[in-house]
Amino acid sequence: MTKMRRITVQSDEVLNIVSDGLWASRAAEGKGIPVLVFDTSARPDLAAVISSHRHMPPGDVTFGWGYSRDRTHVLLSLHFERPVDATAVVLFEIETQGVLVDAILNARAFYFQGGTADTKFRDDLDAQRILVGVDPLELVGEWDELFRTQMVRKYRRQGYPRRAARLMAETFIIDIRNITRLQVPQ
Amino acid sequence: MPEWLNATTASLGLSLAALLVSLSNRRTSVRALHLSEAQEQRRAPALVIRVDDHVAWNTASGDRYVGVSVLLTNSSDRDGSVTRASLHVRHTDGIVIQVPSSSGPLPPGPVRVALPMPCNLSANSSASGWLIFHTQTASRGPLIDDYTLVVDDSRALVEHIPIWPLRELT
Repeated sequence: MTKMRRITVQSDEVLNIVSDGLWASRAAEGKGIPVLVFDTSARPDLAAVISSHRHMPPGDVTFGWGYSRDRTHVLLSLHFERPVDATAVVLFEIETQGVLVDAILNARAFYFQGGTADTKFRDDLDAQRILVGVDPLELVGEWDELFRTQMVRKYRRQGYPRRAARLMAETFIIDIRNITRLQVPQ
Repeated sequence: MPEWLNATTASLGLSLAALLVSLSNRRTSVRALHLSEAQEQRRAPALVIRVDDHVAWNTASGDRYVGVSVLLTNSSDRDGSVTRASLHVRHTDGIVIQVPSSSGPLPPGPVRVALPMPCNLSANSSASGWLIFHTQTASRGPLIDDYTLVVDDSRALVEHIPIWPLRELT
């Protein structure tokens, strides 16, 4: 298994997820692909990445996974190489956004959509978005443990005993995967 | 000065000169070795595959095709050829069906050029075009999990490239 590399990110490269959804289409043979809507109002380069794909073939994107030292956040570093050169970092809080990471790892892809702080995915289903393919790479071996640990911590903070918190975390992950891993026949 | 001392000095001088010549020869030999290693490395079989696009579409007759736009580069000093390209379609039950490239229709849209198989690649040359796969033959009960492009080279090279997710053309 590949070992995680240390990734240093600039704070101005970190994108905020303002809305999200799950979209099943033929693109991933009916697997649910997460749609992540970002506030790109201060990132014209990323807006250009999305708009340039309207008439051009898909560009190359390189990426890397990582997680914070306290293991509470996962980050996805993206470098769009063509047709527009741009870099972005998506930070996921495992406790609240782990479902999105889990769905991305399952679909090995996500939709990248730009917007403002008020943009909602449900408000415009036809909004322009690009499909980004991402392999789980080195994260795949560690993700289950990261996800489970953070969910147990969450339930422990809510006052549940250790054993109950573990059981609730397991049940939560199974239930959520029943939804995100549903593959719709096309 | 005794005669033996003159002889010793002369001998020492000659030895030093011989040492310098041998050091110089060693440097030349090392340089020649590096050159010959680099040359040998350039002669080693090498195939670089860049995937520019991958799409799927249905024809009016209901057939389903997958198209992969590739740039094949033979970066070695020896001639070679790509003998076969196939699409490995993995289903959710783990079964993999291999679909060979075909001379099917090109993806709809702008003008595109097919890449015929087999494809000769002389030393330090490239070829580009679309590989077409008729995936209707891979249809079965379980759903598809993923696609992998597998390219075989005449010099016993086999490259596996994940083709995922596909861009659906309408």
